[in-house]
Amino acid sequence: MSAVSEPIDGLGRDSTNWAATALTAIGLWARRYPVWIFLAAALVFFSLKSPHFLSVFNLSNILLQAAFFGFLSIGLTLLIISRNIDLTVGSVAGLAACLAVGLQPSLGLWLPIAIGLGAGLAIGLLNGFLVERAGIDSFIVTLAGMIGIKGLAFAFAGEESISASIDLFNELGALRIGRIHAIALLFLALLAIGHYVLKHTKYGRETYAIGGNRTAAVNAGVRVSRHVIIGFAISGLLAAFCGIAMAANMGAAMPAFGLGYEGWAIAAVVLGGTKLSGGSGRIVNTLGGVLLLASLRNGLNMIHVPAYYVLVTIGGALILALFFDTQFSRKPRQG
Amino acid sequence: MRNILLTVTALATLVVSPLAASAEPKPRGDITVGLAFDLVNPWAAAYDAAFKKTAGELGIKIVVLDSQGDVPRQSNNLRDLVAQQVDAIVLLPNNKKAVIPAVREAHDAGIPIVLSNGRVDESGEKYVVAWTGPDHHLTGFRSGELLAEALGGKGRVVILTGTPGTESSIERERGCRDALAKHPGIEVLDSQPTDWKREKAQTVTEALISRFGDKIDGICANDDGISLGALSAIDAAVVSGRVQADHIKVTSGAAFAEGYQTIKKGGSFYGSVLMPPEQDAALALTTAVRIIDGETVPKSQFYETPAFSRANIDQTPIPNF
Amino acid sequence: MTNSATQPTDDVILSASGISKSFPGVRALDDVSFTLRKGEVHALCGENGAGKSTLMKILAGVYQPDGGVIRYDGRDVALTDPLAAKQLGILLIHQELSLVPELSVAENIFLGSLPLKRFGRVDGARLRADTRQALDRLGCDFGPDDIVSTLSIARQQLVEIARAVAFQSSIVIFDEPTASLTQQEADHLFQTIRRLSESGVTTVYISHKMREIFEISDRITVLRDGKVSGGLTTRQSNEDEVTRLMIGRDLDHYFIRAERQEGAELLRVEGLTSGPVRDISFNVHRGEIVGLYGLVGSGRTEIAEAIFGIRPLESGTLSWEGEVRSIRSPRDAIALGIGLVPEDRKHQGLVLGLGGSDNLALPNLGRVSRLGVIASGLEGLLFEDYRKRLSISTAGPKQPVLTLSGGNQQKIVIAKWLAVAPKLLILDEPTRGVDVGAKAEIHGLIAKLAESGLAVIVISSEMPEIIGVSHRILTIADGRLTGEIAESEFSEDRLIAAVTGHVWADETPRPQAA
Repeated sequence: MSAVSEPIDGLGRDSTNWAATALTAIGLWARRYPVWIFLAAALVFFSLKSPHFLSVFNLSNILLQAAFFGFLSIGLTLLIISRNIDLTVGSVAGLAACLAVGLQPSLGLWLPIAIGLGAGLAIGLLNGFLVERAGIDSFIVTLAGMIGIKGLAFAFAGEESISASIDLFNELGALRIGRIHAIALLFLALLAIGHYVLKHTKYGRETYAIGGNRTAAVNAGVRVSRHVIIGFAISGLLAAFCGIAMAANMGAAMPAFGLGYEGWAIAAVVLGGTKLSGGSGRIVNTLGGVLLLASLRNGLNMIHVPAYYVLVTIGGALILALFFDTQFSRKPRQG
Repeated sequence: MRNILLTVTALATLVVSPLAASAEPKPRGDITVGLAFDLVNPWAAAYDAAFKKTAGELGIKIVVLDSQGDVPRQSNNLRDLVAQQVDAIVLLPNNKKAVIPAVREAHDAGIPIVLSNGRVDESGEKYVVAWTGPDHHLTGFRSGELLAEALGGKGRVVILTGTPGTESSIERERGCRDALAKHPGIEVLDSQPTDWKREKAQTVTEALISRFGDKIDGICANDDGISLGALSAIDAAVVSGRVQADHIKVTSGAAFAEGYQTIKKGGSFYGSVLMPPEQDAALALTTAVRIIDGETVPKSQFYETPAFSRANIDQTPIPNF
Repeated sequence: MTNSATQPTDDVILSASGISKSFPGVRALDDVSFTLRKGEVHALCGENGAGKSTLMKILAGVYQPDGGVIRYDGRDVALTDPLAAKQLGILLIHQELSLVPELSVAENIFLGSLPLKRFGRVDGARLRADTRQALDRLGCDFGPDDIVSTLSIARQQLVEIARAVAFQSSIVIFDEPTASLTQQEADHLFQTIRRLSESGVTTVYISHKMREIFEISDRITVLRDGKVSGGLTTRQSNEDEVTRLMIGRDLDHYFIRAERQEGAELLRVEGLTSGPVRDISFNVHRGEIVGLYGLVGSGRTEIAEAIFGIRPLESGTLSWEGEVRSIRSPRDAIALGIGLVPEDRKHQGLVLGLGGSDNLALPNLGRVSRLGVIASGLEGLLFEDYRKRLSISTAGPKQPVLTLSGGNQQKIVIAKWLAVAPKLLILDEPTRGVDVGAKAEIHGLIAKLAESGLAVIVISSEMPEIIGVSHRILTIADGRLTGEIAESEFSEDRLIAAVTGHVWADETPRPQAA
């Protein structure tokens, strides 16, 4: 967590001065968090290339597409800052979706949702316990979990999709407030909570400390194990949330939901400038990463780039963004 | 009662839809049709090529979005097409249920959807203007007729189906049985599912041969993949002397390139039914354009699926998938 | 500033003139000139941030200077990258050694230029022979096939020096080489450096330790604020002069011992056994400063870690204010009122990427937050309070501690424990890597804390320090308590004897353990 840029003097006695200060501030901020520059560039490029890109419908469309893997990236930002990783999120989303929909005929609407969320929470706790108490690296634990949980979801639901039998579920998934999907608003709300937690709470501060220097955190009396286990639980819960939101939005569920989403979510976190080596990062910039990826996917569709090249382009953009990030953030050491 | 109401609603939408109601047909060059499908196999590649070719002939623009088998992505792609305000969408759904909310959004945005090949669940049909695709009952029927012809109207046969519960498998089996029932000399010994898998078709056929020995005279398969699996089992049985070479005749309800070549060589594989993606894509796209032009189109349309055997194979185009 | 060190002489191997280097917001080096003569040991002194490391990194090709000329062996050279410097024969031995732990000594020495046979196979015989030759020249007691991770730090350092021998380097730069060495190991290193000198290799020696500088060097260049503040011939100078050049003023009181006002017993350690530490018993009173003296590896740090709950006790008891307590984690220790300023502050004490106020607040988050939400006002006040009290200089509360000088970093570690309001503060090597000025401030602070009633344990391997601050010194060797020396009997000889096991510091001399 690096220093926040100085607030701009709002008095504005001298307008040119004010403008210059503002520009400098924006410039500094952009240098530190280039993801927003990339996002702005992408938005400008696509709106020039396609007249439909900047329509309200499409922007709300981008936001909805962003929301799904965005849920995952909130939990992942917390975990990555504390120097952990959770690869199970995509599989957990699929499993939670299947549970929430598949149990509807026998258990109604709310209980299956609770069971889906509970499964995400339980898997998160299990991941955390294996990482902290058994001392297995989180990459290995969650890689194994990713494979295993996918199997579990297929075992529960089979390869076919299950359709949601309760109309309210589908209506909630399709709900819009104004012209924006409720799911997208929910994502933004959770993101804001995540931002607040990281920036202003004891839990957030300890997250940075653990990722920055675990030994120092232990020595300062931080309950590190408990903290990390809670982090995995949050990640699992958000993953389940993602799956259930997807199921509600599509009125159906299948184990393949969330397939590969862990990759998108991690990419968004990293694009937002959070280092995999832990100790630094900001959730608002993860939002930048999420919006950038969603805009690229949508924009490339808009300008009719074939699906395979969409992936190539996004992969290339990822490398480019990280290259600029390392160039900008390379700090000289002093003797 | 509910269904009737739905149908009425659907028709009403069709009629009052601003696009349908416009008196002046849109100039061809201003029409854009979106295609949402999965470019995951040679069949889809052939469909894609044919769709583009037809669009060129009609002088219209198209937007092709491939979801690569990813179910949520197809919904995203549909929304992206809606955002681009295309005039109509041709959709090959990769999931009968999950795609419905996105189809509904397109419908609500006034964009007509033509389903091609696959269908959506009943609850989503009201958002769809038309369906085009193959008549699976007919292709099954033709595969049955071919087998009866090969056997000279009498013999004992088994039927190899695809994945139980899928429309194409159910309908092709029904068509096959309907055709065979017209020949009193033909007896259906058994019907076994293969899940459209060539390997499974082979093991199922091996089991059938063990069970019935040389009693089997013919096999009616739901597609060429199944036929080819069955042929592998038959060849092995011929080598081990359990059945006579070329005794068992095989026909199929959907031709692939490899099956076509096998039929051409002669032997057990007698004939198959062409399901040309060119016709499939052309029918879907022309239907979409007719809707844009304000024409009323039938809810359901089939494209031509001709049967062929070695006798007329030289007049039959090779399937390009 | 002209001085003898910059005068060109015939045997000059390298001369740098007018070297400048700026980083955003900092002028790290400003018109620095100096020369290195063939075969000399040239000490480079300066407080942290004076520019020593930057200068060395320029010589080693890690940084490019903004201006200035470097002449090597009579011609201008451009040290564009570390490889160019290495090829010229300039080798930098970092404080943190750059060895691959799981490779052998030979492989490490020749990494990047392994002798090859046909088809790219490594020529093992030649590799071993060349390595053996280099090791023999340094008088090493280990072989080419030893795996580096099994060697002590001192031997690993020898492996790095062997690289210089093997590649026939002409200039070897040591950056604080004795930081993790015992006295004997340091002595051995000095012998090695002398051997290098005799064979014509020039040594640049960066250190904080005056004694070492005066023991080993021929000439001294002192840097202050990025400029050369003096060039000295060692034999004609003294420690005071160097200190004055380093900090720009005289240091009047180097050690201020606390007024002794011993209170009740606070901590009693009985039979403490944990890992290398065996059967340690001692006590600490309120207001008392107890010094723990021992060589690196003697077990002093482990004693501190056991008291603080970092390492488990195998046997023994800890009594706190007269009651036996079990301390199973730092949390338990903190709850009782114990703070630990660890030996390695970068790895154990600070979160380097976070700001000063964040670090300070870390063990105090409960106090500056309500219902888990941090009250940034309280946090800021807390930092501001200690920033003033300990005169910590930072650009602001959020400046990452990574960019602070060693002295300011250490003050933040101390401040974070003071904010906990402890009853006992354990300081493990409190002035390691801290510049002279800050060192005196820390010593003054320790004295003030004890006078205010705090019990203090100071661990140090620097004899002047431990003698200067303690009220009572416990000596440790090989994991055992070897003596207790009262203030009236403090002397360096006494300490050396106690930790090398020659004489017991008790009234009655005991026989040496067999």
